[in-house]
Amino acid sequence: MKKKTIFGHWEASAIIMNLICTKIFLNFPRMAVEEGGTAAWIFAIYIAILAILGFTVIQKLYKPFEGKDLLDVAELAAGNIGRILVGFVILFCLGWGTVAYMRMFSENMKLISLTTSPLSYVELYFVVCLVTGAYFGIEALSRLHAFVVPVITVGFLLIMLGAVNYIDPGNLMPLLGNGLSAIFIKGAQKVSDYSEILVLFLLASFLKKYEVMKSTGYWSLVLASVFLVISVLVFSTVFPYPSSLEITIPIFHVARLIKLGRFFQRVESVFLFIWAASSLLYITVNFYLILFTFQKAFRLDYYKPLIIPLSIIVMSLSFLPSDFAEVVTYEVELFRSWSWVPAFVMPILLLILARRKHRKSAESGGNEPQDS
Amino acid sequence: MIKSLLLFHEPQVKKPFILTEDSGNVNSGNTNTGEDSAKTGENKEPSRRKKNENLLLKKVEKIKLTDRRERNQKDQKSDISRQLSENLKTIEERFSASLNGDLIIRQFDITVKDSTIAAFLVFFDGLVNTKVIDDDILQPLMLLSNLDIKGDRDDILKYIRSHILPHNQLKEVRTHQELIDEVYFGGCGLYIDGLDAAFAADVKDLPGRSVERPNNELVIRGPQEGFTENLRANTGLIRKRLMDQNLIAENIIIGNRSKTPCSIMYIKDIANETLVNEVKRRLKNIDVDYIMDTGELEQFIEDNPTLPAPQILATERPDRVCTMLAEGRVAIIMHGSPFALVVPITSNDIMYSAEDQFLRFPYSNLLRFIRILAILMSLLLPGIYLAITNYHHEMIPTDLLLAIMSAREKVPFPSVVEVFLMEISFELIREAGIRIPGPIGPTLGIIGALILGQAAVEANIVSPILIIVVAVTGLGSFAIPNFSAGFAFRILRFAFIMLAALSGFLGITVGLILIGLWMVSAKSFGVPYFAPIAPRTSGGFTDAIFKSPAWKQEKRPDYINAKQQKMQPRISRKWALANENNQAGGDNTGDQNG
Repeated sequence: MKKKTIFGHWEASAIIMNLICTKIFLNFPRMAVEEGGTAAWIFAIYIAILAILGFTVIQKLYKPFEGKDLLDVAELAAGNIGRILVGFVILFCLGWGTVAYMRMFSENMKLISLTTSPLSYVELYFVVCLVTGAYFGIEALSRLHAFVVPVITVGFLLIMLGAVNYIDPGNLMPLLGNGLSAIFIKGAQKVSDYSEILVLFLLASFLKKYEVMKSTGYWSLVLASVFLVISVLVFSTVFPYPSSLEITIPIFHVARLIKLGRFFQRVESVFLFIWAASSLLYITVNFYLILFTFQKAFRLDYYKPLIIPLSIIVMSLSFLPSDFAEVVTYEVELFRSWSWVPAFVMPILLLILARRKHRKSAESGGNEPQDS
Repeated sequence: MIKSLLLFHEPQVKKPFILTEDSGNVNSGNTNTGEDSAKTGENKEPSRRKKNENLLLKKVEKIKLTDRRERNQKDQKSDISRQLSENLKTIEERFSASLNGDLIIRQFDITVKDSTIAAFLVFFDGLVNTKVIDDDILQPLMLLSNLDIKGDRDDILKYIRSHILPHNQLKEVRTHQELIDEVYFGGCGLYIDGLDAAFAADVKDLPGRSVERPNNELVIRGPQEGFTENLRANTGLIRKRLMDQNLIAENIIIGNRSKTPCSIMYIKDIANETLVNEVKRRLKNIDVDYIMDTGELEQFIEDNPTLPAPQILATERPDRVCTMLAEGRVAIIMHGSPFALVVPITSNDIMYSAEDQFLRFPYSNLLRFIRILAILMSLLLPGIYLAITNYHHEMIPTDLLLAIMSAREKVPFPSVVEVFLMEISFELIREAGIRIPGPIGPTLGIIGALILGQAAVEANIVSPILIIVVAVTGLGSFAIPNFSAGFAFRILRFAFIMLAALSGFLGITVGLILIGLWMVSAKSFGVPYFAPIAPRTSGGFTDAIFKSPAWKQEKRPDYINAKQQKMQPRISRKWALANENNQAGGDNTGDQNG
């Protein structure tokens, strides 16, 4: 009855990369500057290394669970209750991502171009996208990512290249910015900026092979961290530290500066294309994964009946924060400080538990899952 | 549609056709020769292939069984009487002889020594070559006086076939229906008294045009022949180019009443067997009374009827069909249609012209780049103009902004009305241009250029910049090589104008994402529509967006899952190597030809 969708390394990498990198267009460069000061780029590299290390541990533990997603692993580790509990945690993470990003992007969009439109009108476009995306399913979404993400990447790199004239390496001084402890101790929890890697463990069942999952993880993490570092480096060299702390939409402001001759200037509207595409894809994939997790956690036959009710819930929740600043505070202060727990610690614990159970069952004669 | 969105229905169990790699060895009646099996060394992994083998074997067996059963039924049901008068009566009834003025029934006697055997011919005037009937059928039969019949009377059948009738295409039929079908397709039926079989001679001389230049797919470099409305002429045009012993042209009749003959063409040791079977399955399962053109047929067999873009390539160029057959695709030719259908296709195929293949690769790449630009302009330019003028003024350089604003100053309409007005006018000119009779054609130019251009600007109904935008959009849409795709982009353009008017670039981006989702989820005969880019297949970029040189196109498109992936070896310009060797061994001038 159900057609098992399988997609490749390219599509999966594009999804994960976009999920991690969307925050470039939102608040990541500024957040990095807040954390690391003039050493924001060192901070960006540091959290990238932490994320890659975290993934290395997880992928090593994942080896015997080829073709199983995190919910399957949770079931192996702690039975039905484990699956449902983990499902709730994932639902919260994805739900927050969708709600917060929908609100933040809509607010930013309203601020930049649709100044006279009500917020609900702007959000309606996001809702249309996520409902349609959910109806088409992960296969269509993955394919769309496969050719939209390269276009977004090229657009982003062009903006970065366009700002070369304004780069002042002197803005990177003092080299260690806010100090070693701020970057390496306090900043460590900001590895949560890579918490979208959690999605890879949900996509594991679509990727089938362990090797594909492994290469997807590394490729997407490495590429995403390169782009994150580039964005931080350009932002912190273009704007001096004090003024960079006052900028709400960093890359938008970088794009605004671009002026190549008399004609090619103010390309920030072109930036809107890639920005909107990236955010729409982020929200659509997140929403589909909410449905997927819900379906799998509660063992439902179909997810399509949930699309309309859940989209209404998501849209309603995005209106709850009183203003833009409140969403950013929750996102930066809370979610991006603690989401490393569900993204990195939870999978590690689950995998260790599942491996122990597997070993026990192997000793008592069980033969599943196979260690490849 | 809204109902289906809001209310949930238990989905039906459907198994969509997905083009997979097939065995390559399993072929009904097409068992591979030793040569073929040697070639299979280049085929895809046998382990993968084996997965489909059993399934395919079963399918092939089933098809064989059905064919055998049908053949047996045909053999058993001979409804032709030994009494000529009865046959004559049946034929007169079945052809409504009293009403049909162009039906000719010619009764005559065949002289056999001292006795005569009555016979009659039936054919339609206008469909046959009467000279051939006179010379090759009537003359031998009527003037024959020394017919020596040995054995029983059934021998007459063999004797006439082998010795009397010199006509080259003579078919023995056992049912009236078979004969009637032949007569309708330009044949001539021959009934002879005392025989429970009849002859159908192919004497067709169907009225129609000869091979001419294609009307829509014009090229500067390359063959200048186009298909005609004649099935056999069309299959002939393909065979003329593709002299491959494995080229197959299977006949199939579509239409319960129209009985339109069609041909399924493929190269049996290249085309994927599951694809060929799927094409046959779809064609055999069309239940319609009349079918007139491949334009209709396309709608009956396409995967997704609501998708704006075409999922089947309709071409009037035999050379294009040949190229695609050589890649492992399947062509459908229909009698009465100058367009052949080719399946499966991807979005790339609708962007390329037949000429791309014949031009050197830098030239065709330039053309492809221009076409991609044309598609983007045709789809997005009016929308982008609207978005900029309504929402994103800041992105226009000041001088240009002032120029646009001063031009729009006196226009009373909002820019969205202005754009719609001009776009609809342009569509009207385009439609009228096709329908207008030749002698009054120049009038259209005057209306278009003067009234809708100059006068509209002078009357301050539209701004001159918008005229330029609409004109460039029009040019873009004319540069799209596929006629159906041009329609798709025209329809979608209006959607983008609406979205841009509602929310500027955000609306356009949402539109692109929604259409993107729709397109990437589509399939053409089991092949993802956006392959080889989404999903990405191996070697996908070789000829996906830009063309590589002819000698570099070593593999067939991966997504077609052809039986043989390789089209040519890695080094196809062997002469270059030979030259190097000669130089190395011959003279020691040291001049290397790299």
